[in-house]
Amino acid sequence: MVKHSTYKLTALIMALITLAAAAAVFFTGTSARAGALEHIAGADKNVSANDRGLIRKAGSGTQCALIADFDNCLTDAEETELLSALETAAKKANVNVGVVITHDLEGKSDEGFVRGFSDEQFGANSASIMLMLLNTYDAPEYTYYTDCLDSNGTTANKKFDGKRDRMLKRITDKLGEPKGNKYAYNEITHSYGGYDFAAGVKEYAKCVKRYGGSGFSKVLVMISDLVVTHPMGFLVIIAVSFLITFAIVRGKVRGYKKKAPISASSYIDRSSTKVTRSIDQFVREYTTSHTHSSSGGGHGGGGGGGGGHHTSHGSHR
Amino acid sequence: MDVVQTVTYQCPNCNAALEYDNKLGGFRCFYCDSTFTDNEIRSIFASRDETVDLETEEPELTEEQMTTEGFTGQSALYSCPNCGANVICDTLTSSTRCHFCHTPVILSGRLSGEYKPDLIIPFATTREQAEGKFKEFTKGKFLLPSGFVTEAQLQNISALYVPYWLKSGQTSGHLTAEGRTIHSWTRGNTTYTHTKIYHVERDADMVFVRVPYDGSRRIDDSLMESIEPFDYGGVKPFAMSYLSGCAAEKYDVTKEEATPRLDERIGKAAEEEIRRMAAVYTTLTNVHCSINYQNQQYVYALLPVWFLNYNYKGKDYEFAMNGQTGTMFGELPVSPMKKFFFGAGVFLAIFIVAMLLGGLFFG
Repeated sequence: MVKHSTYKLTALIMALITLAAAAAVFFTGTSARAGALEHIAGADKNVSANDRGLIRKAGSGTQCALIADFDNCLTDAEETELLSALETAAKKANVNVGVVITHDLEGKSDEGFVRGFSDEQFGANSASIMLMLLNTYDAPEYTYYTDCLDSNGTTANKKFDGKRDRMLKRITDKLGEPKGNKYAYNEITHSYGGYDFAAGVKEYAKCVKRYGGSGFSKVLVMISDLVVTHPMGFLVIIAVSFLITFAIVRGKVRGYKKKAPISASSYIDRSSTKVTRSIDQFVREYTTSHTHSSSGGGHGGGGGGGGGHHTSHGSHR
Repeated sequence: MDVVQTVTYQCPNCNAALEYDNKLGGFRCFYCDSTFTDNEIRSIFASRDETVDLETEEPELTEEQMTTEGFTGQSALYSCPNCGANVICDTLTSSTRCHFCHTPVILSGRLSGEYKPDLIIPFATTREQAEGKFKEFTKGKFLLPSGFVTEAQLQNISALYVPYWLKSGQTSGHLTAEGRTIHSWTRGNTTYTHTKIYHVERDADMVFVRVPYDGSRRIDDSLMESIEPFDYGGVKPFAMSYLSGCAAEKYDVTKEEATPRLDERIGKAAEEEIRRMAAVYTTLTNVHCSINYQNQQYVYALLPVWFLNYNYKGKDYEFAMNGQTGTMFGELPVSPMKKFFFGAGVFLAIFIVAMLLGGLFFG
């Protein structure tokens, strides 16, 4: 009788231990998918993303770099490397640089989410630029979509105004094409469609460094972009430069070979010159008129934007 | 080969060679530093000059001889009155320096008969002034080949009395044209243009005084025209003594050969002058102008010119300066390498500015 109760007790203890282990595996988030699901469910709202180690920062002052990988799409090694690249870019551009990878916009619009997140992390009205990569299955036609870029603060606006579309194109090009089924969740990259987020973020850091520079490097960037975006204009510039150069050099060389014809007028004895006959016979006269047509159109005033928030959308199919 | 008669002017004090000093405007002995005016020299050497048979001309050469001279550039021997050396000279030289003792030698045989000049304008600028003007002329011209303006180069500047035909005469010109006066004004949106047309005739008589044409075939006519005009206020009756120390040539272009170009220049100038007489009109169209020449006279003169010849990459470049007024002209060589780098630099500068502007507006 005693032996039967011991077996029952042992079995009960074993079952409890197994249950406890299973629970530990489930709740500690060793599985990224578990973490992602947890985020989707919003179960850990009371624990900040910072505390969960999902947000990493580097730098100080107005040159901070930030990576917020809520979906664990980047490995630790990639995060470290990319954070360093973003920090370098932040110093070069003298703005805060951040990237957030998430699938959950918490009920906000793209713009609302990224603006709020940027303000929360860098402070409102700070010179900063934030890239959001949306890792989602929800989009009806594509597995992930854009890249919402917010630049906050006058300094950032000046630097990156007009460059957003170009930057987004570069970033989306680096994200690559979906590997296999674009709707399928990729266990390794933790992204839908298997896009290369690390390459995308790396390109983003490069773009910030490229377009955020000043002085001579900015000049070089301006020139190289002109060649890419307006190739015909570039050829026109070469042709016009050549023509002007030709005219200048030719004019200069002509000064070395000039032969001036000398008139014999200087040998006329003016005191003995006399007009022996002068006839001015009137033939006819006429008057013509020309009426100018009035043209309309005055000056159009252009509105200028001040500082503040600007967002751009790009999409990748 | 014939020996040409020569004359040299020697200092009455020390017997060294006398030369015409441009700066002084008179004659100087560079050995004892004595100076003499024109009149003094004329009176000292009057009797000697009179005994020199200035009417003795050189025998006329046959065509074959002239062709040979053209190829060889040598026609006669002269004996230096100072050192006795026999020196060969070309057909046209009438004043030179002995190649051995450097004594100024005047080939009086070349300055006689029809080749005796009527007038001369002595040099009024010195060699130093000519060198200075040349340096000024080339200043700032950075496409010149390196070493173009060097002391060695400046040593090549030489003084030469160039033979000129000076033509004077009367011309009468007759011009007919259609003259228009045009007057415009604007009232409101309308611009009115009132045109009056006239039949215009002008006749004028003009006198041209000593229009020059260089009588040397081997000197570029346009180069000589470019250093005009000469100031005839400085003209003097010809005397051989003025040539002492300077090179001179006799003419090889006759006045008949010079006439077409002279008439062309005179005709153009006369037409310009008559047109100016109808300057009241806004435009002159259907212009017909005819020029007649009367009382044409030719004078043979020697006029002063500084020359510099420069050879660069097988091409000769001539530079000339009016020996009286200092007017200079010439063709300067251009270094292809410097031209290339200048062009490249200009292109780069324009290209960069254009790209910056393009990047700013379209970037």
